[in-house]
Amino acid sequence: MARIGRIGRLGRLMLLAGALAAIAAFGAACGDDEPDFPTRDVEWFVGFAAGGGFDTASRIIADKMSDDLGVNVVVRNIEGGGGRRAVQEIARSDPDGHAISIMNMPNQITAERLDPEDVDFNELSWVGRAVIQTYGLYTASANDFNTPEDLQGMPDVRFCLSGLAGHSFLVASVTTEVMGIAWNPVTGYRGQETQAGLLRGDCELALGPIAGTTLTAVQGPDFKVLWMYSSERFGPVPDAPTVDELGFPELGGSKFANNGLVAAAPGTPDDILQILADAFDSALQDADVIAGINNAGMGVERLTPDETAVVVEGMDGIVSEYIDTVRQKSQAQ
Amino acid sequence: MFEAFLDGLAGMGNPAVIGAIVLGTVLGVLFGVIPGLGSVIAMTLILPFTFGWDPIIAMYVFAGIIGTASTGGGVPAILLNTPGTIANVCTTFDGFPMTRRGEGGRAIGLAATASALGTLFSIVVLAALLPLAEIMLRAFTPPDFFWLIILGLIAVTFASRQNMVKGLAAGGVGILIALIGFSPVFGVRRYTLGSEYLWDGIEIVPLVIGFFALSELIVYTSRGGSIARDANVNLGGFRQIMRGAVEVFQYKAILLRGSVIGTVIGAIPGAGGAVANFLSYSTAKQASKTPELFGTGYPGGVVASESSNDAKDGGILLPTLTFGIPGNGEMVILMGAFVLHGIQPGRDLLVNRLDIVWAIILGVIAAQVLTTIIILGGGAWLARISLVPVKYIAPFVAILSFIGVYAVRSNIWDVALAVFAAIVGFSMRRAGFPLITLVIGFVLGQLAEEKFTQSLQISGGGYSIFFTRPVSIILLLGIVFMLGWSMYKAAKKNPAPQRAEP
Repeated sequence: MARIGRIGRLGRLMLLAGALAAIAAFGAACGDDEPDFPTRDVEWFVGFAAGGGFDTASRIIADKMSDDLGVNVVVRNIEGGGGRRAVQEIARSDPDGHAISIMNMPNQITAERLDPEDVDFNELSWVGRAVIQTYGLYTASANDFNTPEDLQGMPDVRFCLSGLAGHSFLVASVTTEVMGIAWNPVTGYRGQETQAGLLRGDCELALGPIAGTTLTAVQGPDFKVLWMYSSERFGPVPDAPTVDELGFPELGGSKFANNGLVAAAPGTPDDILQILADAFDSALQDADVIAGINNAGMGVERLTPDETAVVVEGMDGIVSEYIDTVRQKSQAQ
Repeated sequence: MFEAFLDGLAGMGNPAVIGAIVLGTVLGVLFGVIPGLGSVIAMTLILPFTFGWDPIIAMYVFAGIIGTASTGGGVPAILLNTPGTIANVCTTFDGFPMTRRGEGGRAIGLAATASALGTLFSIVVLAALLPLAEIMLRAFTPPDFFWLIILGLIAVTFASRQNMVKGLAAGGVGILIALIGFSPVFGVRRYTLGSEYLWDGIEIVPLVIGFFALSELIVYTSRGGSIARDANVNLGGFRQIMRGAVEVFQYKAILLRGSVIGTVIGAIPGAGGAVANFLSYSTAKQASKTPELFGTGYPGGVVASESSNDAKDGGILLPTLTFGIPGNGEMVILMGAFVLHGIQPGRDLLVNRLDIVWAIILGVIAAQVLTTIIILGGGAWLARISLVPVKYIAPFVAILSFIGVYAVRSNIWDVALAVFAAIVGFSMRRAGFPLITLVIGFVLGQLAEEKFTQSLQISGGGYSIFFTRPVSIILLLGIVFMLGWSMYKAAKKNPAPQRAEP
């Protein structure tokens, strides 16, 4: 028993020593795992020209993130291909967290499906959602149609759109299929020309994010919003019904909204991603940041990295479901 | 409305308003003079600083920039063959040859006065047409625009009358270059050769800077001496400037036509100052009794270019102020300024905020007058640049050009494109191909394709849309008349040889 007792003391000593060693080793291991990040400035890619909505939001958020991260978060405009050059740049960046990019989604998924460039959006390391712009369908006030039923009775409704590859084209294709509206696209209308096209009668309908100059226009007397692609009424245009109210909940929620999602390179380590996501989320809770984004005609609806990845997966599903419709309509043109 | 005008006029004595106009003018001239920059960048930079200012004061600053950038851009176009903005390209065609003759001051006088008169014309038209804006906006549909572009493209062929085959070939190459890039209309990439850089097609700023500024740089550095070929030429100082300023009135028809074209094209959203500039120059040459003088340092060419690019300012304000539809990049920023200052553009502006409307109108006029005084006053001094040996000028122009090209998109490949365009431009000059027609083909070609497609989509594929609208018919008749008149003149000049009597 005494032997056992001696052994027991020895064992306890050994256990204690082992435990101390384990704690020391754990501590050392923890010290090694603490990511040495960021070690230099973080680049924030924007696929559009300086001065636009996404650029403005990026600069506001990046400025706040710089305070949290202790390094500069530098916005770099990589214009080209409707935002696709910036997507490609982040997809092939080093996965060290020193480069992130804002991208317009699901527009980029549609573009990738129609004209593949080997970018897998589910592989990107998602940081969160910077901004959201709710889509709406609008027309000239002089037109006497107001509801999906009115449009169903028309022979061929014309939509003024930017082109046959954008998100607006996908939303128009899906809307008309779900609602049973015969339609044709009239393309080549960039932001400022769309409203002129509606007033001239080049087309009957236009759709897009109800933000910026479009929001200003539809709040005036010359245009009216027929419906919003959301499940709840849109604050700046409270009289416009939602697609849910009109009996088309499958078009509601925020699945057709223009999302400004932020991603790091594929394979970015989780701990680095978490540091980025924390700084990003903290910035989005700042009152000045929210006010700045709202002033630029966009909304803030925060998402965690995991939630963002789920949203992207959902967008991928919607685009997959309707891409053939889009392709057929595109080829018919 | 008249009361608001008088209030606005009285308010211009306010030192803050004067300061705002001076600030806008200085910014506009500065950003106009530096190639590749221009009013949009100037307005973007100043926008955040105006937050918290009195909206009226802020509008005077923006009006100052809008009214002056393209006037400032005419100076380097004349003295260095480097257009300050894209809307000054045609000024180089005759302005720079005048500088080489030692008449840079005269050309500056012509340009400054033509700019001022063009702006004043368009602003008066703007004020008069505000109540009729809706008719104007509805009148010009895609098929009408298509015919207008065809009119311009046909004028291209006459723009190179000395060597029509080479001119047509260069114009065709310009149209082909315009096809490069992703076509949003069809959703496909064309001629991009797998290059990401070519996705968005060829950027116009590096192309134009390379063709005109840098290729000229090669020419005059290889030649040596000064830009004015005779370094002992008498520039004539202020007297020569005033000669140019007064001489504008000898070109009344060109001035009026340029002002009308600038105002009308400006009022069409998306058309742009470059289109107005090319159409004005081409039609002036086409209508002239001495078209062969254009491109050789003809004062009328400077008047055609500068009157149109400044007259677009009034036209472009029309859809912005009346409907809140921004016609170009400048107007998008102005709309942003409206939103920032809690102003609702569109009809509400015309009913409830006429003070803002008049602040912009009076601001543009005041800034234009101020710019004209500055340029006329400083023109003699500026013209001396043409006497400085090119070995000192060349590095300055090259650096300025590269900074301007890079500043537009912060893309180093744009600088490479400018260098490539310079080499191509230099080779084309040596081979006798006119660069003018290539650039006109480039600018108008892509618009022609877009408007043609839009017209067919609107009509559901029916071609009758091109022949049934009143404006289209008028333009079509204009084209037929232009072609017929040219053939008649050619036949009269070179009568068919009489068959020999047997």
